Amino acid sequence: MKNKIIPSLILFGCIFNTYTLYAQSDKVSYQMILESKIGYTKLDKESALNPANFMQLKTNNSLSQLYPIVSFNNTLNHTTTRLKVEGNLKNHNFEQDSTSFEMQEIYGQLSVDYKHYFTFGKKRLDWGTGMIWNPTNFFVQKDPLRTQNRLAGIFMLNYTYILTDGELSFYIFPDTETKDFKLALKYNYSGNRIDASLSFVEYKKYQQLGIDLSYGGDLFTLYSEGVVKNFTNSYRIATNGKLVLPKDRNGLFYIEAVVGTSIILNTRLHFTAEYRYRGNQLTSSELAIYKKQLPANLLLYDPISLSKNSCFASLTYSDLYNRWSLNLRTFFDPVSNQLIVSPLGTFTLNNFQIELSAMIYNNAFSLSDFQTQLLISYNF
Amino acid sequence: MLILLSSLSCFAANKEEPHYLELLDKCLYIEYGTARMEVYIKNKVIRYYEMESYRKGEKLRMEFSAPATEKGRKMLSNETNLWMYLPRTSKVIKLPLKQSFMGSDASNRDLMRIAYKKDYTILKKTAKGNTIIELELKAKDTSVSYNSMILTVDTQTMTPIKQEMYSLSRKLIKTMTFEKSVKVDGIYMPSIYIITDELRKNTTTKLVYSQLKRKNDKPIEFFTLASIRR
Repeated sequence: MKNKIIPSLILFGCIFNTYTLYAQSDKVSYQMILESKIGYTKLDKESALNPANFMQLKTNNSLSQLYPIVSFNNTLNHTTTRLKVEGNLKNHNFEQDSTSFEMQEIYGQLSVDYKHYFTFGKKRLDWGTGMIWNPTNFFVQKDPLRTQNRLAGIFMLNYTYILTDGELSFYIFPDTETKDFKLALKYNYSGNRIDASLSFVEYKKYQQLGIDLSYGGDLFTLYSEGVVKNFTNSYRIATNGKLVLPKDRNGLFYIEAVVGTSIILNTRLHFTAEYRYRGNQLTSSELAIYKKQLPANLLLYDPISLSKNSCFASLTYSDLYNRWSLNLRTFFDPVSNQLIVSPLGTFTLNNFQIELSAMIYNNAFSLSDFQTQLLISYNF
Repeated sequence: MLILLSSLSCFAANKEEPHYLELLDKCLYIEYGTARMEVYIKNKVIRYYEMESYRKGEKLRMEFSAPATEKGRKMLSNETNLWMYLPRTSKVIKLPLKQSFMGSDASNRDLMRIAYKKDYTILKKTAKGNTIIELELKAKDTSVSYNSMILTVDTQTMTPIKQEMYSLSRKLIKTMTFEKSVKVDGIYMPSIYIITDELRKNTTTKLVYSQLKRKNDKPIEFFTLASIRR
């Protein structure tokens, strides 16, 4: 009962504060985003993961998504209220029974004097400085092949106190499955060209300590983030060939870190590179065992990187006016030799965007040889 | 005699330097305005953006409302940092300061930072008519974007008319012209800025400001990285 009092009070405050919205229609903002994606996959017929296509993967696929987004913002004296709702109506392959709806974000936020922010509801968590990988964000990892995807939020109760050079945040993340909750504390600092964060997460007897750093120069940015944690979601292959479950690996300390840079080479050329280390992933000897036991050990599968080391590099050539860009992206795992080369072309006009991408796989751990995808998004 | 009067010595110009540059800083300093930015190629609009702009000292915050693909995007800058909030991913990224501003002819620094007095000294002042003067400015150090500038000023309204920005090798990089002066809280300021990147061909960027206010009631916390995330 006590757990419900604080969220109820915040929600009530938000509703009470927004009653004046009827007179201020300009405070209501709405947007619709329609995304349609069609793709073709050339399956790897010799794949050890999917011999004779036993997974029954399709070569053609489509995904249509409609995001209705509505937000109410209202300021009364020094108190600002925000209510935001973002849905996602999606359909796979134009099949009638594959239509689903998910509430991606639904939250209320109350701020007092722009110093105290109370948030309750489902909201995206923006932890981490990495462009491709974010080890500090222990809930949702973005798709490295399309980092701009609109991700679903996490249910949270959050209080943030804003300082002139930083912020201090306290989070409670309820977990309905285990009827328990995670607690987190985060301090962000913004200084002269440098931003830094320190975060701490506790869940039952498990903890995660994280740090983010970024430096902004005139023509480049440098960034890194890392965590030390005593739990993992990854499986492992023991030297005797047996699969070790994540729950049996908890209690040991693991390090996961990312370091990256983004450089403006000239007005049209932009280079980004990122390296990730994951202490809880496979060593080269474990990879050899894993390879022998395929497809039985599919649980460990990661199309981009299976070992402890992952690299990413991207070179972007763009129009001077942000109308179009050509991007060549590469993912490489030097231990498992997983290599993905992915060219991407983007064309943007005021309300719509077209993306044409391809993924060329060259490794022993792939499901397909080649994938291509056309994505059209329209905003209105 | 006329020449002697119209072309003042370096010493005389330096003596008046705080006066002109301080007044011009005051002229261009606004704490709130809405703006529409249009990027032209051969007189045809190829991109446009609409935004609200809030300033407090060196801190500037911009919130984009149009086009639909950019709605909700926010930018925050101070003297040494530039961040962008992307609503699609709810993420803030740190940007290099010299990156082009949203594909326009202006760099982020051109729009985010206006500090004539702090960044430049007057080398020479030349009268170009009864109420028009031309100021030749030299950067105080190499951290400033443009090594030198020629600034044409209307002394009657104390507003800039034209600004030519030069590189270290005296090459003209950009030209900014200012139009349609309006009185905001008793001080004139231009409401239209036209930026031409002289190194590109046939392009200009036009910024039209409206609803200008010299002061806003936002506290300093509104201009923090933490605040644009929310």
